[in-house]
Amino acid sequence: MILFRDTYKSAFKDIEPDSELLSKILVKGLEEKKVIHRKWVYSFGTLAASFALVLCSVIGYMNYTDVNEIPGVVDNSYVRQVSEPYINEIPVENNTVKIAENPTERKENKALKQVISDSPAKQPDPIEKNVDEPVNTDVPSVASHEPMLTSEPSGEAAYSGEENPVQREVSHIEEMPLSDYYQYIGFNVLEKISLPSDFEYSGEDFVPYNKTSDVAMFSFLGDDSRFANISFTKNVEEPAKEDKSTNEYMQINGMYNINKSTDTFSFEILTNINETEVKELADSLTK
Amino acid sequence: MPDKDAHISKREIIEKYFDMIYKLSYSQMGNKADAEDITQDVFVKFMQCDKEFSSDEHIKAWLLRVTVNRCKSFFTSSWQKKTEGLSEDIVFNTEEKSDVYYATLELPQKYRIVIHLFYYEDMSVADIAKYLGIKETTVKTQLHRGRELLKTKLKGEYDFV
Repeated sequence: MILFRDTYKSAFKDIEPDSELLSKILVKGLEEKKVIHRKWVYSFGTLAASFALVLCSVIGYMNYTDVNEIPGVVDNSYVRQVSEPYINEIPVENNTVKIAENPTERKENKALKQVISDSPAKQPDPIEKNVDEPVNTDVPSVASHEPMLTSEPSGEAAYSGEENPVQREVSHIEEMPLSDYYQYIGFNVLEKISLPSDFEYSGEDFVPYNKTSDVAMFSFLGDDSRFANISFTKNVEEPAKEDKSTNEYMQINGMYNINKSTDTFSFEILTNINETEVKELADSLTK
Repeated sequence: MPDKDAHISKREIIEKYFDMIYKLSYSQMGNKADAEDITQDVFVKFMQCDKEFSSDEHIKAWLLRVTVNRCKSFFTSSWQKKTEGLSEDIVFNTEEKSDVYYATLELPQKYRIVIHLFYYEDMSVADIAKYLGIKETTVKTQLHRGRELLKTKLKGEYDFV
């Protein structure tokens, strides 16, 4: 009998590996080590690139987002933002401006359904304009035409963005005694405005007045941080321009308004609840 | 220079176990090219490995298990299943060697491992069980079944002591 063990051993001893295999393994082992280091370099490079990308995004966001940012005032009591003016079409009789019926209005808004008249000027003819433009396009066009008032009760400019072009224009605002303004505009403004009972005029005996644009803004504060801003101007002759691509100023019956329609316009009445939600409080005004 | 020393010691270990790993790979793969690939993979992995080995036996066990696992994964890989392995005819100087070699190549892989370690490396059943991480009874069973198959193939001409 032949021993299987001896035959098996001698058979495998005849099998010899390639003479260079061992050196190949040693060399390859060292090369692979370098690859590992290279992987670390790649990982670090990817991480650095990602960090740079995030940094660029943050810087870009901080520097360029305020171009399209809605100007607003951050105060302890409320936050003001410009919202889309409500547009409604209600006929006006006898040169009387009425607060329109809004199907989505709140209960308090019913108090606004009061006739506001006593304006000596005539109404310009209604002209159809496109009203489907987005809200945020209002702000740049306003800034490019005339300065815009803030809702700051003290009349000082307090916009959130430092580089906002609107902010530079607002520096012309000054405070005018109410009696002087009533004399100037020809009627008692506060008596002509009817708001919910919780709204109170916040400017005491003064009103923020912009001499450049002849605009005075009456700010009212209500409960739950709601507020309403109503702007007035004495210029009653200038009708709105018929430019459908941009938003124009409309001055009718002593009411100053920012709107994009010539025949329909509204008070700029805004409200904010819990400092986050901006809602339109008042109805539109239609001549 | 601990890295250099470690590298030198690893080189010595590779030289020490090179023949064992290569022969075990050859017994599993049945051809030179695949055996060299497996051997290379095992030792490259060993060189890159940062594992701390407690003893020489620990290193030997690690190398054997990595080799066995690498061979198993080779046979179970989709590439291997879709392709036909290289057939390599080795010419031995005696007919007995040739008969024994090709008879063992026809065994299932799990039997070939224990047969090779038992008859070529002269390991005991306990050592094989320890190195491969399996029970001794399993090793005995596989050895017994491998021997029975070999006896059938070799027509009882050999003594499997």
